[in-house]
Parts: sequence; structure tokens; C-alpha cells
Amino acid sequence: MQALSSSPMFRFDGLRSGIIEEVTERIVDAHARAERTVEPLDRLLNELVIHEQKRLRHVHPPDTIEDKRRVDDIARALQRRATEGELLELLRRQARAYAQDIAGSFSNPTYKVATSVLPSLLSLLLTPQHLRSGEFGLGALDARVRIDGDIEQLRRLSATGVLVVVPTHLSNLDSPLVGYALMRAGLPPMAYGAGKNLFSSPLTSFFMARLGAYKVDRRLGFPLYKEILKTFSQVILEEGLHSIFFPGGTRSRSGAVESKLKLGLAGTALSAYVEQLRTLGPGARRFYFVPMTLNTPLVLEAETLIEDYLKEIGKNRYIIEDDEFSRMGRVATYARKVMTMDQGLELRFCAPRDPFGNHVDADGRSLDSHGREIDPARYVMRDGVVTHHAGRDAEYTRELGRHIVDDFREGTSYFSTHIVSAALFAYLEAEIPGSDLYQRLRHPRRLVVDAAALARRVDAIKAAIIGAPALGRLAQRVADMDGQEIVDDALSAFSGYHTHPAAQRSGSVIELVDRELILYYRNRLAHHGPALEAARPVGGGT
Amino acid sequence: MSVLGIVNGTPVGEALVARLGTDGRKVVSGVDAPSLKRMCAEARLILVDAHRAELLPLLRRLGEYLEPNHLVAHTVHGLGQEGRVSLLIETESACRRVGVLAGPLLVSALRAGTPTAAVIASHHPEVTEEFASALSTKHLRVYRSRDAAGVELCASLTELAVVACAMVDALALGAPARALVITRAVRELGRLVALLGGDPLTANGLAGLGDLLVRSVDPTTPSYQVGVALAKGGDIDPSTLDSMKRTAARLDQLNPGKKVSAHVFHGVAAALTDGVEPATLIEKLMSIRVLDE
Repeated sequence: MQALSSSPMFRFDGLRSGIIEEVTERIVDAHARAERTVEPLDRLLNELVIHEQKRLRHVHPPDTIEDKRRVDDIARALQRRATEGELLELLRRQARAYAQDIAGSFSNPTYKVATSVLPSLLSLLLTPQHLRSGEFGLGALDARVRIDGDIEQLRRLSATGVLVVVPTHLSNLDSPLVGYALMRAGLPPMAYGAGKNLFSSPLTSFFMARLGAYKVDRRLGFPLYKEILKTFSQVILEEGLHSIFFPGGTRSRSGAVESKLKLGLAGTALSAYVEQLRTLGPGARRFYFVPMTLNTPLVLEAETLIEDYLKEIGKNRYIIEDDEFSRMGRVATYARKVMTMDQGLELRFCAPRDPFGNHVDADGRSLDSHGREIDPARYVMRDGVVTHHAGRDAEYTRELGRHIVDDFREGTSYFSTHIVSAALFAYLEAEIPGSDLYQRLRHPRRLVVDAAALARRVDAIKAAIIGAPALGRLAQRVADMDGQEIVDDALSAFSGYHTHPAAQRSGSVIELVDRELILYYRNRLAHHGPALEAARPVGGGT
Repeated sequence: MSVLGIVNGTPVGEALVARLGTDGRKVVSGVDAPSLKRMCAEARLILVDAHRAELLPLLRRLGEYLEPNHLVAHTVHGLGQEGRVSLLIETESACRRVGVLAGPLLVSALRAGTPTAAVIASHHPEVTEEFASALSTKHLRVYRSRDAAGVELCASLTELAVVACAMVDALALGAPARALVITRAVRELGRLVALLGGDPLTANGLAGLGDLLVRSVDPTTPSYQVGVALAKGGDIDPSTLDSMKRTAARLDQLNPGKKVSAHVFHGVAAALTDGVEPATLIEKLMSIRVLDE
């Protein structure tokens, strides 16, 4: 099997300039062809100018005066009706600049530090009691994090094919968590797109810029930038770089498991596969999508995210810069809280699929539901010839997305916080009937639930989860707990991190304190009909 | 023009084979294993025409020979517990490019060569483009749709509306009553399509209104015969009744608690499954509060 160290990512810095040039030339070529089906070049550049001149009216870092000059040159060229040749050259210059900004880097020394020294330091920092007992190294961290999935299969597939890992997304801590999971699983490092705003923090920026992250500037919403980004993604995949895409597009604001995916960038894996087949024929590498669920009892940014969800500020506030992730104190408190919980994190690699949704065997062969081998190349052939077909491939990717949603649900682990929140929220709905969500959340009445009744309801939810494995499973941490223990576990988790606990005990009753947080954690079960049905209080009480 | 494979499991499939052959298309047909094997070897487009009750074993045979490069469409009516037929084809084979062909495909019209039409629906553009091109002749016009779920639902539920029209005819209630049933059924069908995420306008097309207009005046249509038998008393073909009862049960699951108003459809379902008398059904329908059209 190919050694981990021969993974293409370790050669990225040597490939970088070639990748940038390839991306640039593909963009220019796409717009230079006489039979092009994309937008006319002058209209494309005009849209760029309108957007960028507005954005660069006042130049602030990380933007530069040079960025502004390049855009102004395009504007002047358009005004004087420059020739197509001149416009293509300006396009080349601009595309190269964007590609250079997007392309990250990979430093082998930084990777060594990140994978060897840092987890030990992190573990030490977060669990100082282990310093006293003499435990050093990854052991303390490893005990807190459960990694599931057929790791051996993924290692084999990573040696011969290209992995496209698609995780659920709740927190800005997900990227390092995924990185940690890959490292623990003995899987190679991967490229991934990260919002440019995440590079503003010096500490995270240092590591992200050197560990395979490429920058996605969400301020640049015009078609040319998106085209360059997709082309970059496709080119690095063709080079064999394993990649990570968060198909939810952004962190789940509501706390629910993603059900509507944005697969534009992930879809470049299919384009890369088709292009490989066209150029390499049967020698083309195969591509494998690996859905991954990240399951935690608490989410660092829960309060900000649910508030944003509820406010519904137009579109999502993609660039939330002032949430808990930007406050190191909150990050440390959160990490300490989660790390004191045995098996407090479950990271699950689901069964891999080919770009057409078929499962694959241990050697990467695609299989239909009856176990018959399929040649995936035939999905993109016509009369024996491999062809690109945008409409066809977009539909394949959409269908793959439906399978990924099913995999996310099946791969979700429910902790005590989710289960107890589901019971509490159902109680809230029953106690304040006939009102909309906002009225329920803001109602001034103090709401309490009898603790024993709550425990019984939690037992019912637990049974419903066990009875519907396709919709998720109990976290290992709570699998052997009874209802009362689950309630206690949840209340313990709720205290000591969030500004206010979601719920707290008051004698023999449980008081609903922060209803928005209850809604957030309950939403992890939003797709689980049987569990929500079981959560409903019976006959007026719980 | 490339070869077209047709699994001719019902008289409609046989009539299509005859019509297309007469109109100069090269067709490979059959239902047995050797025919299916040959069909899949020679044709890129495969049309599956079968009774719902025989579908699963047929798909399992066909699945042995279907390859990822095949484009598959079906004409199967009726709702079953296994779910949508398109998804069933994907489960039982390696195919991903699947569609549905529906509309007023009457055996008599196909054989006579009188003008007729159908709609081919799929999310995959190649399926709609290639099937529409392969099936369209001087006598048969095949339109395209991206609303596969809507067309499948219309094709399956229209038979319940046909039962209602047949009851109206059998009870001699007259043309206005028939018009009422047809217009309200189409409106309700649109709501049910929207409930499943489809385009409500699909109900006004060939798979909904088009099919209803034709089958509701064709006394040889099984669902029409069921309607007459329910109204006048009489024998009902057990397999047809069984199939329609499954559709009725599935309707209750698709529209739990009657989330959208579909009085005609649920009314006919009640007549089929609970034995509600047609006169009672009509009285009930005529007593519903009148709202906006």
C-alpha cells in the first residue's frame, strides 16, 4: 500500500505554481473559445468591475492597492472598448491573482508539529489533572474522542483513489477536529476551503495557511470568482489531492443535521473524474465520497448561531466574526468542558460512495444494491466515449447529495443534551399551545417539569432512537444510561459553559432556563419523527 | 435513430411496440430473460411497461442486464409500499438516469395511429431529450418535463378520479357533475403534487388532466369499470381492486391527517377501502363548505 508520506499533499508546494497556471489557463481558454457557451467576456468582466470597484473603494488589508489597480485597468479597457485579445490578457492577470490568493500551502515541518507536538500540548492544557498523574501525550485526548468507521477501508482507498470527505458542520472547531480525526485514522492530510475571515486570527491563520487550507473569499460573489474557485478545486482533485468539503456550506444555524446541501464545489470531484477518464482512460483514479458526522454534546457557538437563526437576518450571516470562536477564553472553557466528558466527542466516517451514490467494497469497486460490480465510468460514456455533460453531472451530484443526507442522519449520534432538549421542547410546545415559535420562546411564564416525569419521557425517546437506526443512534456515552442518568448528564453538560444553562434542577423539578438553547439542541433530532413523537407529553403532563 | 428497448408487459407496451415499428423506429421488445438480455445489449434507451404487481420480479430480472449507461423510463401506474417506481428501478439496477412516461396512451389510439400524446419526465436532461426524440413520431407526440415526482403521482392517482367520473356516469348525474368532479380532481391533484415537492401545474398536463379526460370516457379502462361496479353493484376484478386499494392506502400515508384538501381522492379511497356508498360519498362531497376555487 502506498505510504502515507507519498500522499500528494506533501508535494503540494512543488505543485502549487503549476496548479495556479493551469487554473488560469483553463479560465482564459473557457472564455476564448469561439464556441463558448459561457457569458460574453466583456459582460463577465463588467460584472467583476462593478462588484470589485465598490468593494475596493477604500482599500483595507488584506486587500492591496495592486488589487484595486488591476480592477481599474479592466474598467478602463472596457470603457475604451479594448480588443478581445487585450481583455483576455486582463482576464489572465486577474484570474491568476485570484488563484494565487485562493491557493494555500502545505509545510511538512508544520504538519509534523501539528500532528505530534500540538495534540500533546492541547491535551495537557485541557486536562491538567493528567499532568499530576503523569499522563502525557495523546492518550488523554484520545480517550475523550471516539472515532468510528471502517478506517482500514479508507486507508486502502486513499492509496489508490482520491477521497472527498464531506462532514457535517456545527462549529468553527470542526476543521481542526476533522484534521485530528484524519490524523488518528492514519489518513493523509487533505485540502479544504476555509472562509478568508478565518485567517484573521494569527494563531489559526498560521496553521491553516500551512496545512492545506485554501482561501474562499465570500465577499466575492460574482460568477468569475466562483468559476475560478471551482476550477481550482477541480485541478487539485485531478492532481490527486484528497479534499474536504463541508456540504452544508456554513455552520448549521439551527443545530439540525444538514438536509439541503450545497454541492457546487464537491461536484468538482465528478468533473475531475470525468476529465481524468478522458485523459487517462482506464488508468484514471477513482473518487470516493466519505460522509462524516461530527457529534458533540455541546457546540461552542450555539448561543450565537441559534440567535442568528431566529433573527433571520436576511440571508445567513455567513461572515459572523464576533461569535464565541473569536474569544479564546470561551474556546478554552468550551474545550475543557467537553474534554472532561468521557467519550464526549464522536467522529464518524460513514461508508464511502462513488460519485454516483453507489457503495464501494474494500478495494474501491463500485457495487449496486445486489452486490454486483459496476463500472462507474459507464455513467459518463456515450457510445463508448467519455463526455462532459453539465446537466447530467449536476443531476448525478444532486442525487449523491440525497444519499449523503441519508448517511448524515444514520451517522448522527445523540447525546444527553439532544435527548433531554427534545423532551423539554415538547413540554414547552404542550404548555404554550396555539402559539408560534417566537411566542413560545419569549413567553414570560416560568416553566418547570417534574424530574421523574422528564426521565420517563427521555426513556421513551431513547427507545424510539434505538428503534429507528436509519435516523441516527445513541452516543456511546449515553447508550447504557437510563432516563434519570441521561437527565443528570444533560444538566451537568448544560452548566458551566453557556452564558445561562439551557435547563437546571430546582429540587424535584427541572426548570427551562434558556429556551433558545433548548431549541438548538433539540433540533439535532428535527428529522427524527419517531423520537419527536415519543417526546410529546402524554395526556397533559409528561 | 438508435434502437429502443421496450419491456412490453401490458397491452400499452405491446401497442407502443407496434406503433413505433410501423412509424419506422427500430425496437427490441420482450419480457423473458433472453429478450431482456438482448434488449440491454442493443439499446441505450429501455422503456419498462408492466403491471405494478409484476414489477419487482421483472426489475430483478432486468437489473441483471442493465448497465450504468442505460437510460430507463417506465409507464407503471399505481402507488405501492415499495415507494416510487423510479427509485425502485435505481435500487434494483445500476441505472441512475431514470424517468417516467405518462399520459393518455390508449391502446386503441396507438394501434389506429390517431394523434396521441404523452409526457416523459425526469430530472436527467438526457432522459427527457432522448426519450422524447426516440418516441415522437407523426402519430405520437412526447413532451418533456423535469417534474418526475409530479408526473408519477399524477399517473398513479388519476385512476381514483376516473373511478369518481365512472360513478357519476353510472348514476346518470349528468355533465355538470362530471365537470365538477374533473375540475376539482385536477385542482386536488395539483395540491398533492405540491405536497410532494413537485410542480402543481403538472396536474393540468398530460399525466393528469390529459389522462383523466381520456380514461374517464373509456369503458374498457379497468378503473372506469371499478367505478361503475361500485355505483351499480357488480363484480370487480380482484387484481384491479387490490391494486387500487394499495394506491388508496398509500395516499393516506402521503397525505397524513389530510394535510391538504383532496376530498375527491380521499372520498374514492374510502369507497374502495371502507365500502362507503357512492350516494353517501356524493352527499358528503356536496356538503363541504364552499371556498375559493
